Amino acid sequence: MNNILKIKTFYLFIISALLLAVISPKAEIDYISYGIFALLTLIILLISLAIYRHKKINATTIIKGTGELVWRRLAKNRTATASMIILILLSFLAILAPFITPHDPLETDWGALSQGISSSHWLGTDDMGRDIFARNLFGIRVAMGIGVTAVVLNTLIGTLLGLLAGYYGGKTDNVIMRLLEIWNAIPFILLAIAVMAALGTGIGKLILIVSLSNLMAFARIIRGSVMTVREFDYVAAAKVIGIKDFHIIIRHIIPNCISPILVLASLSIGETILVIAGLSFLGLGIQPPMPSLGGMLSNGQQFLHENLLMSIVPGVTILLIVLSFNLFGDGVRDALDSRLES
Amino acid sequence: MPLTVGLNHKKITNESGAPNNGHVRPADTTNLKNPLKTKIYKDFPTKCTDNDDLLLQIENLKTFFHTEDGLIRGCDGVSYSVKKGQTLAVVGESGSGKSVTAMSILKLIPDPPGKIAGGRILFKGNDLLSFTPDEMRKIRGNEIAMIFQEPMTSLNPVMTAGEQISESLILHRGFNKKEAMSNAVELLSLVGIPAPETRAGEYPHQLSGGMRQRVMIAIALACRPDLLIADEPTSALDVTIQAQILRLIKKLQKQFGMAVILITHDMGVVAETADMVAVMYCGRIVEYGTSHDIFFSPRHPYLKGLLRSVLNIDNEEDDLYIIEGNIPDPLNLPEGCPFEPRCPEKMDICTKQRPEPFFFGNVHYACCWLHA
Amino acid sequence: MNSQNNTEKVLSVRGLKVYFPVKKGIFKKTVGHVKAVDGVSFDIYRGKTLGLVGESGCGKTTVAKAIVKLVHAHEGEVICKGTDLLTAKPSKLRELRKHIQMIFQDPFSSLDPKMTVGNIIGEAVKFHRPDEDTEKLVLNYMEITGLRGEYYKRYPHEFSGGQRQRIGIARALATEPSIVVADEPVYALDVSVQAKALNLMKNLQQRLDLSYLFITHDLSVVKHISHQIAVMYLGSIVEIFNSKDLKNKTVHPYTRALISSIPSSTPGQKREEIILQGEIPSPMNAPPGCKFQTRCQYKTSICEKVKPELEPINSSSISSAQKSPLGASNLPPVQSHNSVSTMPNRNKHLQGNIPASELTHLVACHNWRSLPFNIDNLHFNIDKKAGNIAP
Repeated sequence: MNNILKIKTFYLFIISALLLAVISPKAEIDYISYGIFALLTLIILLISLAIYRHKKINATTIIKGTGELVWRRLAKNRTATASMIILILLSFLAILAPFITPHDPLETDWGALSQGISSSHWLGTDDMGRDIFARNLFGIRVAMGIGVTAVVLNTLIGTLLGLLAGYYGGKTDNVIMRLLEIWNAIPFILLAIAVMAALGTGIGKLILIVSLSNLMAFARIIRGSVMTVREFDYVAAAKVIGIKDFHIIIRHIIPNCISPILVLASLSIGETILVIAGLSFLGLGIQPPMPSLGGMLSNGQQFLHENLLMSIVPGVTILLIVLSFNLFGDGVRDALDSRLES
Repeated sequence: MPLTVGLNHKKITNESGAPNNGHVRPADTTNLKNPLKTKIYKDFPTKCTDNDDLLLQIENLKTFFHTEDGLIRGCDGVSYSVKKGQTLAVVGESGSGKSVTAMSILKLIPDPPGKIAGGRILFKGNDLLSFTPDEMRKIRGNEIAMIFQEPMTSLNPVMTAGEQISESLILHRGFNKKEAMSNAVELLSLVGIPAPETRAGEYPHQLSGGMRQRVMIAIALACRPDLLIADEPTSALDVTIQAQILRLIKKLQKQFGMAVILITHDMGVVAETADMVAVMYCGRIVEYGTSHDIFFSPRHPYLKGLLRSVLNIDNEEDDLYIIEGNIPDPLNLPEGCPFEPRCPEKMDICTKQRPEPFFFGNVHYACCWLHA
Repeated sequence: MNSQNNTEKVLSVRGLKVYFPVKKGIFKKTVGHVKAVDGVSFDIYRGKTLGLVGESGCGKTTVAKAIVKLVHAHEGEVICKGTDLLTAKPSKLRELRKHIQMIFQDPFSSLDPKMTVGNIIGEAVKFHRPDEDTEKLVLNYMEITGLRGEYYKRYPHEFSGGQRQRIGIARALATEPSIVVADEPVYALDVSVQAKALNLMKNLQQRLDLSYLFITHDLSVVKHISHQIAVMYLGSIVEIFNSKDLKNKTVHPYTRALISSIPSSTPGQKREEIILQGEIPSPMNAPPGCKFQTRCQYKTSICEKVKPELEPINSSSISSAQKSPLGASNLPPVQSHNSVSTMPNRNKHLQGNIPASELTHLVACHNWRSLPFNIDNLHFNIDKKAGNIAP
């Protein structure tokens, strides 16, 4: 059974979709968006087909792989399922943004400044006459793209450090963890301001700062679970067989530490998006005129009396994204935690 | 619920599994006069002749676990009784329901998923199942005490041995701290801990495995319980320590006149300590009798196989006897006798109908169609 | 592999010492050593089983781990196929690994929960025999350990303890080892399952000409599977004997106490009553001299000063107190291994190619000649088999 494959496909799908979304943030390149859309729809259809067929098989047999157990638990958890659906919807909205809204997010309409809800501007316009709905959609695109990329980077580096520290222990562990502690001692905002001041702003630098700032959490958690897994007899058995450390890490350690990695990753996407929004709010993140949720919020607070929509729309969107990611992460954790029960 | 116990050798049964008042079934005295004559009972009877001494009586106890995958019958119609001062050993493999039964007595079954679905647990004539949680708390640790398998995890690591012993004295006996502590020290010396005054001030991690189990026993004995439930008290200990602990339990039992329910998988421990033995398989008692009955005239094929497969240094056989097959999946037990798929002597009826207890004498019975 | 020669040594352990440093303070200064294994020597012969018995904390598991190099040994030699495993180069060691495999105690933590049975067993095959058909070999090993072929793609959590232990055994066999180190392989299993696992291991031994180092705390288990038994106490072997001598011919007070503490198999049966007082002292501050002295009722003044060495007892003339302590000196001389040459004479008798069945009974006790057990005709066990006793 390809249970595990299914879970992996699912993650791959979300992550690749968001990555692609950030690669093509420009509205003009329509055909890429089109291609992605077709591809995603196909994948989703295939997955649902596989799930459907699997359920049919499941009805007759009791055999369960770990992956399927996780999947079943996740599907049973209503909040997690709901937040997953919201996330999928949001990613579709972000990817298909150019097709959904007729307006360009950068296009200023001087004839319609700070308008309310209307048929041409669904959520009104901002102080410069830009369509809020369009800006919001593109903002989601940017936020999720950067958020996911940063978390993926963060996970990769953090996991690597944690693996090395946990598996080898002793001096390696000491050096890595002490360095990380020093790194962690620098206040985040200070670091962000310093880097931006020295190197200038930009999406690449933003991703780098955000992903490096959270290394400690990842490394520490991975280190802990590697240390637990390292003591299991199956690792000893692999050593007795004579398998090299690298293969032990790849074949035995990583698959058994993957649950905390997944949980932490899905939980920190929301947090990262929030941090990026916060930085943008402060003017350190995504620079105008590129639409960003934090920037929109910051802009909107100047016009709280004139146009409430300018603040509410990006605010609610941030809330929705972060909440969904957190609830989804919680669901993943619950599903993985009890994977070996029964 | 008062027990209408007949002083003249009468038996208590309960009708169709429903908890009922102590229904006295007349006209069975004839059967007792012919102990060798076996008789089939519709319901599960608890045979006992001296109801005066009865301390605990479990009737048709059913504890079920409602899991994600389905219903697991942790214990399914278990009946046994314990007299004052007696040791009952409950033997079985893991998953046979021996611990579930004991936990049900104290109503410590985690709910959900567990639930006591039926039966009666009569302790000194009162049905524990009808007790409120508050009343149960007064029973636990006071009249019925328990020792667990793993002495490290059942002691609180941040409390000293003395504090943990005095805790139940303060709670149940209303002692003040000072009285309780001096009592605790006494108890520690009673369970054979050298230098009890200093040991009382030590934390569990400072004690060795055997010492911890002794502290556990001291906690259990603090309120002089009438019944001690020992769940695998020695299986986590070394052989030499095991002998010390078994001996200690025996000695204290005599001293206090406690009854002991000893849950174990080790036939050797049973042979050394038990008066009565209940052999469990898949949540049911398959054979019940005195220790002598069980070891010298086993009737159920499972017990026979078990006795033959027991490892012992006196056993000179080269190839050990093994019971073929595995314990059936608790989620889908066979319809008839649960041992039927592995039984070397199975018959047609075994697949269809669950065997009733068949008696060989007053107390000894086996649930097997072979003896119908 | 010449299986006709059953006196062939497949593994020799000499003066094995494993010390764990005890560190204290901020700078992790070493303040002492836990002498987990303190000079252990024994041989394992082809197709035979050596049982290593002792209570928890006596160092028996550490011996096993040192042999398969899961822990670092301080000193000593572990010779397999003419090479010392402890000093072998990594490449050579990897080659030698396949001759010594291990079966673990806990059937739950010893199998990777994320791998299928086929992958677990196949891992060793892929590594050591890359040219062969992995799946066919795995199915073959599953068959000889009594696992059905359809389990190939299942995960460990679907199996019971007994079946998991079979998977563990199959994995150990997959490298075609000549020695299998089994660390309490039946400890976590139910009684009826224990018997099955032991029968399987015996069966495989005969079929594949395996040698076992069987580590357990349970004398009844070890008696069934072993040809020889070594009893360990606080990091040292106190007695080595043939398993048929277990009941009546062992002399060391600790061995006797272990035997007496086994619960009897039937009610009413009496064993000799030696309940040991106290518990094992911490291996960090073991007493000088004989380590058993704190619990021994036959202690004399010499026990407090001099550490007793293993000396042979001729098991046929056990009461002859005049036997020379170095009675085996006519055996072939010690081969010149670097570290062995510094070792005392006590290892001499272990060096020769004595047939395993006639291995000298060795005991480490100063007073063994005067002990009450040392009388040939004294039988402590009233042998009453089930059914023989009238009620």
